[in-house]
Amino acid sequence: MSDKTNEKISAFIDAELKQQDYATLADSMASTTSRDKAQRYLMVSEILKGQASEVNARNVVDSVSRALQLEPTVLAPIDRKQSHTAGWKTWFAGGAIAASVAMLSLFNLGVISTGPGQAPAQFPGQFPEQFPVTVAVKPPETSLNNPYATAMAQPASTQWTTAGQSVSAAEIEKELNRFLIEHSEYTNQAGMPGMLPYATFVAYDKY
Amino acid sequence: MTSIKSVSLRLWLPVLLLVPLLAHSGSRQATYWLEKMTRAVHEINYDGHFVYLHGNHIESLRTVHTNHQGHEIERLFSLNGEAREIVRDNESVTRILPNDREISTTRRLLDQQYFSNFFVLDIEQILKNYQLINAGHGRVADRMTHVIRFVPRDNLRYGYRLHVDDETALPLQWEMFDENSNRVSTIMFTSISVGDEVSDSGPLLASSGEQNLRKSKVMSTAEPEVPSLAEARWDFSSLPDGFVIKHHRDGIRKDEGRNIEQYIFSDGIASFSVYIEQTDHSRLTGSARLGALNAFGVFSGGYQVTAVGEVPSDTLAFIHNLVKP
Repeated sequence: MSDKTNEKISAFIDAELKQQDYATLADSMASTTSRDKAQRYLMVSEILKGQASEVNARNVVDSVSRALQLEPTVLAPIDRKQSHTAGWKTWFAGGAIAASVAMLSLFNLGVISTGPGQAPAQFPGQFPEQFPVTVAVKPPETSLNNPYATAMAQPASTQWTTAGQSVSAAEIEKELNRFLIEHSEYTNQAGMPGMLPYATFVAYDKY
Repeated sequence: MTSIKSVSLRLWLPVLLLVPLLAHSGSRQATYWLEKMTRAVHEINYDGHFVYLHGNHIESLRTVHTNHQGHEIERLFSLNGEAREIVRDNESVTRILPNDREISTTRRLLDQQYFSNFFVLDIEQILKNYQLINAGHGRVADRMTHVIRFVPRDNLRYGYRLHVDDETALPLQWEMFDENSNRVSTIMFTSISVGDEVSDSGPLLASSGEQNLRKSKVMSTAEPEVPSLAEARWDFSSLPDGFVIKHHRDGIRKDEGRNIEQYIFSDGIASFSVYIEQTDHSRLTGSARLGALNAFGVFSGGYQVTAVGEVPSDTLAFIHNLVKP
């Protein structure tokens, strides 16, 4: 492994890797040697920061490797004014990847650092990769680091909510559900073909 | 003197010219797959299980579709919670519920001759409102897929990502993303069988052990009517860009002594309904949310106006101006 690759791994762990180097580092991380090197660097970094713990660096490195190969998926509406500016594009790509990596690292560390006697939270490691990377650009919150946390912590809500407050009147809720069903019965002519639109219909019909 | 700028431009010009061509090519490829998918969902027999994630909820469902000599039967059956089934054939959409809940059948609103066009995607309208991006390949239900992204051209609608089966062009995954690119709902096949061996074996609900299905009740519906909005009693001048009216119904809930009008609007993918009722008391005022769905209500001039759909809440707020003074 070349010194340049070592430098890039080191820069990456220190969050100093340039955006344009992500692609080449991603290719390098495919090799076992590079991954072992990254694992050692990460351990050293943790020790230097006084955060040494039973970190399963292999998991982190694997996550990082996957994240580096993850193509940013941007589905937010196009801002025509900004989309022509290279600066915006560069910031977004770099920021998104870094945020995604940060999310994955926290995600795995969160599992690993669970203390003795505590059951580790069950997070399928591959799931965050499927999230649009822009999710992690938001300020870190528990629900972002662990997309399942909210679902597990709160009972499943089947109520309509308004600005954080449940629409308490049962009459309103019933009315909205009936509107929804009536809407779903007729919207198939205008949207996705086949039965997929009816999935929403069946799902909401029980509420 | 040949400036550095002009040299640089010469070098980059072919690339700059190539970019729109590639983008156009990607869009054409995406369009090709959408058209192929539209045919596939009607022509191919398939039996699959899929999950539907919305908000904090996960639903597991099974769908069976058969087409024998042009006669289509499609069933959708919930696998968790209370058993529910939707059956669609050439003439109707039937909702089947167990035990003491009634079965309802809604007659198709279009003539039989138009059935084959019923589910055709309006690609032209979609392209006006979304940028279609050919987003490479993926894998869903152990099948290779072609990925298409629908990037909204404004903030009035959500974004989508579609996985189409490489082999059959069936839609295998459909995700919706809000204005912040947060995924708000996903429909994803986990397994699917395709081919002539798939056959319709009757109601899935009955085979699940549910014995007490009630007899069907046919709900008569109004004749198809797509009115001119200019002639409508309501002011639709502030209708969100890209949405066009698809259907209008009148006389909803007459059996309950109420009279509600429904207008359905679509941008080719997303849709919402506006319900208008003359009443002396308001129901929903302001916005409400259920998973990926938004509702917005206004009480004005003796009318309750409520909009419901899988679009951003702001898109629905135009109903403020609906009731003419």
